[in-house]
Amino acid sequence: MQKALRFRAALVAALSLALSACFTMNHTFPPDTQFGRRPAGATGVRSVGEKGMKNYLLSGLVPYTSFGTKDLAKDPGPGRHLTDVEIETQFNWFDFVVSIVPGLYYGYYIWAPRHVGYKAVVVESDSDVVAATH
Amino acid sequence: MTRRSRLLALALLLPTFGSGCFTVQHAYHGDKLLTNGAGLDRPTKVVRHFEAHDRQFFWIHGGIPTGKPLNGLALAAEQAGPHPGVVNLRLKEGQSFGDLFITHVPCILGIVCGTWSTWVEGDVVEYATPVAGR
Repeated sequence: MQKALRFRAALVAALSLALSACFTMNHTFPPDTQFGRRPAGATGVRSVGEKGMKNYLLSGLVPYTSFGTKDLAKDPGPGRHLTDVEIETQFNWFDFVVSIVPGLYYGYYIWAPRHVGYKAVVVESDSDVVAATH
Repeated sequence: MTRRSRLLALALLLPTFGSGCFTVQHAYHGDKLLTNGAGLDRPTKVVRHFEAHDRQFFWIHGGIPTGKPLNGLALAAEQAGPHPGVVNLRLKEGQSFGDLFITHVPCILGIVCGTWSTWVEGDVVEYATPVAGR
């Protein structure tokens, strides 16, 4: 019994450490998104926002669904950009409970969810972006 | 139930009583321009490329975070220094090899404690032509 437990613990540790820097969420947004203040002359059109649950396997090493907020923030369309972006990643009580309960040993290795959301303002701007030079 | 089991059960349940157990908010309301685009609305030149990382330590499944809150956008704005903004900004968060090791080994699968990280990468830019009045 103790041998089986040790083997299981070793397997879990090995799986967790085998892949480094894998539990990362890339917060990808549409082109020319302004994360801070909006550029001068940009006019706010409407507020947008979304929140969704991201699901991972093996304590975050493998995603069940797509990473980050890529599929949360939709492109606002031509001539429009997102500004004043705020991103929130939450490990809430639901994520906590499902991380513990489903597994016989420790659920986090089977289902590791996180709630990710964003808020932003869609703006219209007449000026085009000029690529920075080196 | 033994004293050890009761302590373990308490450690597991504690975060469920807190709302939003471990929450990371990326937001910036200062005067720097932060964008994932290639430039700003006026010609700019790249001053330097940067990659920055910040880590937060928490107790009991994230229920008790310690230190300065993680905020990737504020971290990127700090990198801008005296310059007006950052372009080609990439933002991600999660657990690196170090975070995984800390969380799963000494922190006993995150039950006792753990760490969470954020990474930002981008180009600090300066206006190619000086802004009037500066």
